[in-house]
Amino acid sequence: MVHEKPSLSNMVLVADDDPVFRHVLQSCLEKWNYRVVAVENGAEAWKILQQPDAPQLAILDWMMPGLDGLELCRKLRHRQEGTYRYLLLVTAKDNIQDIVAGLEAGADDYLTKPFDVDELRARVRSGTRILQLQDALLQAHEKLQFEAAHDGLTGIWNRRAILDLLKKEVERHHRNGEPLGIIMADVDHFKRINDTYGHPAGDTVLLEVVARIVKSLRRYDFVGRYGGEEFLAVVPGCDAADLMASAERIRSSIATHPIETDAGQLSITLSLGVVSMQANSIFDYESVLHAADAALYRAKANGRNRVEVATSLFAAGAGSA
Amino acid sequence: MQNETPKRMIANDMAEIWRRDEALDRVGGDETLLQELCQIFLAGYPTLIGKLRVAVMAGDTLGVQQAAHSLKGELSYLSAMQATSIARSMEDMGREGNLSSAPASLAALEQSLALLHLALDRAMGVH
Repeated sequence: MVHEKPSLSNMVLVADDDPVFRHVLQSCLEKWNYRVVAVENGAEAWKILQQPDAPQLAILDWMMPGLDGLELCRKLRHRQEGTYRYLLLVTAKDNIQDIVAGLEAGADDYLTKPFDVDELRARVRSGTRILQLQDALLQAHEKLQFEAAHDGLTGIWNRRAILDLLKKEVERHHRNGEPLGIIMADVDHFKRINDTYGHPAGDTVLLEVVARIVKSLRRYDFVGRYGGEEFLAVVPGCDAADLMASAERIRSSIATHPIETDAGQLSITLSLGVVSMQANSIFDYESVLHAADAALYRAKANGRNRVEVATSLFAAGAGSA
Repeated sequence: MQNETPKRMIANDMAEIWRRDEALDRVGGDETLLQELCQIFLAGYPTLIGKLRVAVMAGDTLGVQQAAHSLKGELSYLSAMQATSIARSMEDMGREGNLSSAPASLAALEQSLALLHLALDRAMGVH
């Protein structure tokens, strides 16, 4: 006997009040390597199918005391949850009108009693195929969603995503008054690195810079690639002193240890502009971004490899520096 | 078939009590599974026939329909042709709300089930 390969969608719920059919279904499905959850009535089936890790494929007998298969189909379709459930309704062969009503109630397919095991297997396989296709589509969707929000080289948030996050965090800051920090960082003389050592070495530098920035911050801070060699970190719930310390930690982690590349060890530095938004600040995210950019510009102008604070915002905000 | 009395029908048609080969084909030739199903059926059918009997005596058409439906399902799966046919007709009687022939059909069904029970026992080596 050839066994179906176990997969994410190989769990089957069997709901039948008849012990003979429950045994046929359970026994055959287990023989074909499906994991079976068997219940005796519709109410138990409904309870299980509402759980997030419930089987995606359900074989439901039409005639069950209490909640029957037809009503179960209707209730499940009414929920319209994220994961699709494949519903196979079992009905008596002489009740053809049941089949139409069952399909209209939301069943995907049907099986008429007395079914033979080959037919059962074929129907369950076709359900499994649909569910596997759904799994593949969901995975592709998740991958696309990730790619749409992340930088292809470094894997951190891309420009659009980090700006969205900044916008949300600025709104949250205005709502709850929690301090919010923004760090804008730019690799010094990056064009020279690319021109002298080539783009692969430049990419290695970017990857290592990102790794050190991420390591210098907390797990729940956001780091994104704002431009070619420019990065933006959004640091919620961090006061001005801690924010300065974080920025300095980033600067130092890069300046003190050269970066290993295929072109050799490269000494890299970073210039950083910092904005700390304290309680009662009224600035929108564009002003914050502008202030961070201005501070970064000053860090560059003042000799690079340094952290500069956006003074105008501090003066207008809580006044701490 | 409708012109025959149920008793005569059973006596004349022993071959229709149980088509074992057909039932075995239905479960993909799995002898063990077939045997397990026969055991489950034998353990459970007295309850179902009891429910049917009570419903017939009480004139409970829905009860007749439901009990006959359950019996019909199991019997048809096991290819107990004759008993399936009687159970199906009783389900129809219940659905149509006319139980005038139900007592006679019930007696015929009980006889057919007694013969089926013997045949299943024999196949499983009980006798």
